[in-house]
Amino acid sequence: MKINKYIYFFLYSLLLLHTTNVSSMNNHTSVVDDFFYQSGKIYVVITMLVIILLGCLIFMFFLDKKIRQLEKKIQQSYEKKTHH
Amino acid sequence: MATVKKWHYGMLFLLLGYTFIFGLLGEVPQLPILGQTIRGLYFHVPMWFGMVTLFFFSFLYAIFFLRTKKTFWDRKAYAFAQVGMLYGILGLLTGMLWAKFTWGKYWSGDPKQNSAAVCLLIYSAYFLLRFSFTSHIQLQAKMNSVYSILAFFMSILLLFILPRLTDSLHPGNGGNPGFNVYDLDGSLRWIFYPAIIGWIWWGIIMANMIHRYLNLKHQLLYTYEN
Repeated sequence: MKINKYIYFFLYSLLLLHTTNVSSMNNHTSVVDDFFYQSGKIYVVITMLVIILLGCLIFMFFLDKKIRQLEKKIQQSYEKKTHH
Repeated sequence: MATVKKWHYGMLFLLLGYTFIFGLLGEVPQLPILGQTIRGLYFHVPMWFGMVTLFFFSFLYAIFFLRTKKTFWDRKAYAFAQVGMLYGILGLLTGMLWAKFTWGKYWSGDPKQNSAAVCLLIYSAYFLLRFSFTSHIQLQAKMNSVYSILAFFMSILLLFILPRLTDSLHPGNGGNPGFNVYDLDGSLRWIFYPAIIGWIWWGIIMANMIHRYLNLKHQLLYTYEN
């Protein structure tokens, strides 16, 4: 039986969540946390900005994909009209 | 049809360039837990302002559709709801990151966080509803427009009224002071307002692009092939 790739993704994210919980239970700050806490938490702001810009970029990527599909459809219907 | 003109991009470049440069380099009040994350005011807060504005436009265009029965307005409402949803998701993600380094957890079940998530779920039902009526354009547009009106009022209730009635950690809610309290000399405001206008501006440009795409698709499917 073929397991959907989304289920894999879900399980993987659960695993990640679990590992981060374990590290916080041990009361050891991780390297990532240390990085974010330095120089007045400025890297939190930088990461926010990166999240927003990447989000808009991914959105534009999907719009581009949709437009490409539409272009293909127009091309096909044009070819159909010229053949008959 | 609203095509994007050159001066629209010029305005966008000016507003967001100003926000990025002065938002990251400008002076901010030094506060104990917040630290430099007070600069999130220029990036996280405009996402929510943008989302509400875009949903408001979507709501207006839904009313235009119900009055004129032209699916042009329904497509416009759909485009604005899409970008509003994007802004909402980005606002939630940036808010979660900020909460991790100020409140200690990504998700602490704060009333503001929960109601924002419920608001996004309500709007995700808008898209589900749309994809369930793809064969009947008029019916789809009607269902969506009516649902959009309901969803907009629910979003106002969830984002601005309910979190203020209970205890919340979020600045500006439940007894917590908003950022205007820290902004003694008005220096934050000089970057905050252009930032809001800039992000909303970008959202409207993106929404208009999607609207043009949806119109082209509609023309192709309902005039070319028939």
